[in-house]
Amino acid sequence: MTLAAGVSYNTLVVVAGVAAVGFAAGVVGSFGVLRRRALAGDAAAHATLAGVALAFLATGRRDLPVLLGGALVAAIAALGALVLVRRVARTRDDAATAIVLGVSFGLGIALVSGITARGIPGGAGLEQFLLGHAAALTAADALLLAGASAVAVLVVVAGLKEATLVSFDPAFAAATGWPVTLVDYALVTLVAVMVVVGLPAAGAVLVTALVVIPPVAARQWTDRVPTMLPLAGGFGLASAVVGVALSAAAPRLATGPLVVLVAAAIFTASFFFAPRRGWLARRREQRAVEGVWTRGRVLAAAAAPAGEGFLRHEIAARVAGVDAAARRRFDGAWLALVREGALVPARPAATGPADPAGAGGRWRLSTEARGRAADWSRRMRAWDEIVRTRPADARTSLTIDLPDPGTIFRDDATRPPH
Amino acid sequence: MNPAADPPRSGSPPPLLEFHDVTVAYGRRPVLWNIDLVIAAPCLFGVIGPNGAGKSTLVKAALGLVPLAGGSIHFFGRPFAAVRRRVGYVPQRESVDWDFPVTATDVVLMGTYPRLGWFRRPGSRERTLARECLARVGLADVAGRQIGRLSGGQQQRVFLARALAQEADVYVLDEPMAGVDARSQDLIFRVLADLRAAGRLVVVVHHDLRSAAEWFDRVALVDMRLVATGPTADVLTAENLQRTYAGRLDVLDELGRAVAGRGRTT
Amino acid sequence: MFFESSKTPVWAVVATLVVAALRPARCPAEPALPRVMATTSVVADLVRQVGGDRVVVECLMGAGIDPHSYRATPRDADRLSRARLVVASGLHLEGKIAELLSRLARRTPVVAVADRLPRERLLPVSDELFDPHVWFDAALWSGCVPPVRDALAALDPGGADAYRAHADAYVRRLMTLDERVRARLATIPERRRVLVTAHDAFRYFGRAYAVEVVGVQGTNTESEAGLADINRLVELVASRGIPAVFVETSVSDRNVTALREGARARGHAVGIGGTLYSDSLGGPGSGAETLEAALEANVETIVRALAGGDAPP
Repeated sequence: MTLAAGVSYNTLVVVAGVAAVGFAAGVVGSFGVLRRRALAGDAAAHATLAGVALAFLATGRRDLPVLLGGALVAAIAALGALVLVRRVARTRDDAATAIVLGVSFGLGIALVSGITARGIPGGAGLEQFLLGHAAALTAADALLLAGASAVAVLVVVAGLKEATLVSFDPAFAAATGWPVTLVDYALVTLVAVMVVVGLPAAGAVLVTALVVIPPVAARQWTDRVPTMLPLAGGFGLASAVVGVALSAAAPRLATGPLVVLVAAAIFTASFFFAPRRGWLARRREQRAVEGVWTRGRVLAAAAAPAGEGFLRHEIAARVAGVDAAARRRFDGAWLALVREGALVPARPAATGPADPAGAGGRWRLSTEARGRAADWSRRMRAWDEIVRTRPADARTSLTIDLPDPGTIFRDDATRPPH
Repeated sequence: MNPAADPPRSGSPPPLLEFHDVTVAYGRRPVLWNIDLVIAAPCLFGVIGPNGAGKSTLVKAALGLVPLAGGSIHFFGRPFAAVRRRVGYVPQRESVDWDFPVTATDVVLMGTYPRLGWFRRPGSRERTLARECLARVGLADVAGRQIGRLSGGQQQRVFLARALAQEADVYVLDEPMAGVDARSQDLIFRVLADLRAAGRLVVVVHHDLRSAAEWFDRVALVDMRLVATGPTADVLTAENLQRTYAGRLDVLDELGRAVAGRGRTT
Repeated sequence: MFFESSKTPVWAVVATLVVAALRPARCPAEPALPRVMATTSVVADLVRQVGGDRVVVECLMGAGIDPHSYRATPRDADRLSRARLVVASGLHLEGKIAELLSRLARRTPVVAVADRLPRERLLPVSDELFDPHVWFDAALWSGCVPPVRDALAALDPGGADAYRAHADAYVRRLMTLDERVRARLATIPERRRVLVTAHDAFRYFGRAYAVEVVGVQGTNTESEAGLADINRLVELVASRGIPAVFVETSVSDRNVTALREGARARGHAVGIGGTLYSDSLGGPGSGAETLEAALEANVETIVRALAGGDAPP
């Protein structure tokens, strides 16, 4: 049954539940990512399996609120254990996380295997918490998930400035009187809640992906927290909806892993195509920067010889030497300068239209380009001097397009007013 | 040189900042030892000393960021926690994540948060204040830029603007000139001088003796203990510096030149 | 390995030897009966029927345990290796202990009964795999009796005659049961004779007794049901007016619950017809401790749920 024929009730329920979770996971997870604490969320996620098993053993009940309650207790306990191991056992962050994650997950697997091995009635199906069982969500389940997600998002939005402040500059926050530890714990608890809420959708092993991938993808597109949060939520929501749609379109496709795969696809696209931070954009900028520099050097080298003009390979030797990569850059810069008319043949129509100037012909700078070259040389010499005598200033103000030093520094030394 | 209090206080307002018998230890090793220091009136006050002397620790202790092993510190005669709103803090720059998605304006607005309290958002008043503070430090044109894309001097000025936005009576700055280009240093000192002229106390932890001699009204020379305090020229004598910076002759040479060049004005 | 450890103190070694020596010797009053280990409760029942009281049959996976996902513990491996004969169901039903069984087969006789059935009577699941749930087709299951009989006879030649007699009697009972079940199920009108269960455990049952069977999960409970599968079943149940679906003792009923909700949203109330025995028999006192009893119980449950006019609650 495809969506084209109309969306079935089950699909609607699953979409509603998973979309709410996806959105909230993106929003709440943003702070985990910004504070570089994503791995703690993973430790909490792996601990939830033990919590589910213990809740079942303790109460004998299998309804979702009971099991998720156990999962939440286990998640918070794991985060507490993390703090203890770091502080009391003086362990580094990564080792402490590995310990807590490994021990709690091992305990969870042992408990679940034990329950299924003993054939305890009702125990079958606990293993579904490993990879999620989004397809089997009931309306009541979806309501629980959506409600918890809404509360988590509201808390984050209400305390947005406090969370941002504490995440960005805890020292300043403490000095200005904010209870940094309290806000810290609140954020950590929210991540634990989201991890638990995400269990039915993606399972203990994958829910970290929901909490981490959309925020990281969103970060590529914006430099502001109030934009990043809804964007991360949007990515999470889109992953959920598309993942569910894919799972509904073909038989025997589990929903949880598909949601995570869609999120990963969004991240990959963001990684490549985001406007400033994306890989393509940065490569383009890098190329542009290299182009500016190399063109400047070609101009400066070409400004020196006068008279008959110069041969291309003479300039090439001075600018690029024998380095292959430098030669490539030189070729690109040369072509660009010819195209824009800065370099013209010394004797036009020397060998005919098919080969203007050609490799053996001589070149010269156009009149306009001569001015540019002279300016470039002057700035180059000025910066040479600054780098030599005032390296600290050069370090902070020099950029590769050689801005005019006169606009940055005043010539008189700094002098106090009294 | 008398290492104790400055000119005797009159009967009226309590000193702006007072350290009484302050000792601070990291673990078991003391970093500051029996510091007694009183700053009674607004001025541009430098905390000077060699590396590792405890200068940073001194101001961090004042702000409650490191615990006191002994003694007490009072602002306006009261503990820091009671008068937080009246103290503006510009911390050392390293502790910040430069990749964090905040702009210069966002950071300056954080100075207004204590006044807003829980759950209230910055409004137009706060935004106008932020704009003004950024203009005062010469960063009006980069207000919307993410902080990682600012130069070192610009970053430091953003944090100064944040402290200005706190609209405090006392400002404490920890090594604000570290890694900052000359133009920005100049600008920062001018802003601080303006603050002093407006009746604020500005306490600056500073490492460079030459500019210290040029800028500060009064200094405290610290090397785990308080070596000397008072007007700059009185404190930064060859004798005091010999005791404190023993073995660092190049520093003394530089300072000798600077002090001689400036002349004694009192 | 105990003695290889250089850290084992001498006193511990001596103490162990002393304790071992002091244990009362077993009086050899009569030769112990041969121990046969069966993997599933279904197979255990088969061995008991053929072996009678000449063998002691122990079962690895008790009632309510899912054999598709069962992982062996070291204790299980120990018990299996100490048995004189191991009888398994086969056709990858016990997927997670397959390697253990094949290693065991080097020293102990291991018989996978369903593997001995002629391939043309089996239902394929993919190019190389067959559906292993052969026991609910009584006539087909009777084909698993000879391998057990022969294995027991090889183990205990003295009882060969008894085993043959038990086997023949059991096969006759199975064939009678087969006809009885077919007749009973025929009382359900064909349109309503649809069995919707948690996983595909009843295909042989369906083929033998003319019942249309649909499972939410596939033949293997390890595969997760996707949304498309649940939608498809909701469509089936609602459009055909199927009054009841069934849960199984060893499989999670979460999918079935979602299925019922989906059907209810389409205005069709679907009840739970009852719990069926699928991959395992019932425990002591359930009334379904043998295959015959379990099959009859299943049939009664199905007939009661589907033949009647109203949907059960």
